[in-house]
Amino acid sequence: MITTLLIDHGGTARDTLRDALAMRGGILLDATALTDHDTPDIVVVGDPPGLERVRQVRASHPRLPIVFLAARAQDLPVVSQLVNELGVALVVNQPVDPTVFARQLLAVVARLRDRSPPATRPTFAAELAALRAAFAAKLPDKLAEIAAAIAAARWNPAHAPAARMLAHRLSGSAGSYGHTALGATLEALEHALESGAAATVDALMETARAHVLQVREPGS
Amino acid sequence: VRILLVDDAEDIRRIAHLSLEGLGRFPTALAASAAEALAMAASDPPDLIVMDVLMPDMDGPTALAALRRDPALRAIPVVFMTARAQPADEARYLALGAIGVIRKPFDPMTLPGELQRLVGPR
Repeated sequence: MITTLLIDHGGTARDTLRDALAMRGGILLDATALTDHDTPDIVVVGDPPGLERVRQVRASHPRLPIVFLAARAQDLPVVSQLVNELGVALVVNQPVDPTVFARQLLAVVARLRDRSPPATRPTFAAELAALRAAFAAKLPDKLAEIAAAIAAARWNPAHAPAARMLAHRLSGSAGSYGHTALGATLEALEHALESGAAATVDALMETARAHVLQVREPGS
Repeated sequence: VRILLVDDAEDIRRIAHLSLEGLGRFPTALAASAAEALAMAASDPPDLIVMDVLMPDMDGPTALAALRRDPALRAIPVVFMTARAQPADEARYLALGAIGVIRKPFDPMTLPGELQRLVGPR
């Protein structure tokens, strides 16, 4: 039996899709998100919630087949990002015919099962995407850690090297995970912490926070 | 090429490990400090050590000097991977005996190729 988890805040015809899958031996579960305890055979992510939810699913479940149910025809760069970076197996534009869509979902599961034995590791692109998504999710905490270290250093200068080391570490990491602007800001922050320019440090922290917000919520 | 990657930043170790093994097909061991790396190299010498420069406790150049003092380990090539890679820094690292420098941030898509270029055909 094939279990499909549908994460869709839009108007997908759930009931007809559920019936269409049931006729082919599948079941459809509804969810607002995928938890670590969920073990579906395939996940359909609607739009909304869209790309960000795909990233979250991929981060927590690197090997799970994902189908993206787009609200409208997607531009090629978006499709490329979905397929090549996030390892999405299929992008389908709405509206869909539930019967045809059910067949497509079952075909994706069958195709991926044929292609790879259960122990096969995910593709490099999918693993990289998962790693990047997990890193992006941690960024607010990492920045808060730097802010706390800066505050501690202002209270007691003996803590200054620790603040610089945190900024240095995150600078190298952020750039290597593709967040070039954030990495450059943190590199400047590291130098500002060395020179002790408090106003510059505060301004760079604000810039870094804005970059993190942009990473977490593209388009904001 | 069996690589020992040394970096105190866990996120760097993770993405470099994925890049080197997943893309470059280089078997890669990880160390979180220079001291750990020296112990690992002594027990199972790698073909190449890729090492961060700025690390707490012991920095990369100090670790390189320790490697060069050990007859069993002195021949292992070392590449520094660092954000501190101005021309003067690079010249200093090369003078210490490193075979090359990879600048941070690095691109995980090109890191294996850059290392292969530094090591040369094997």
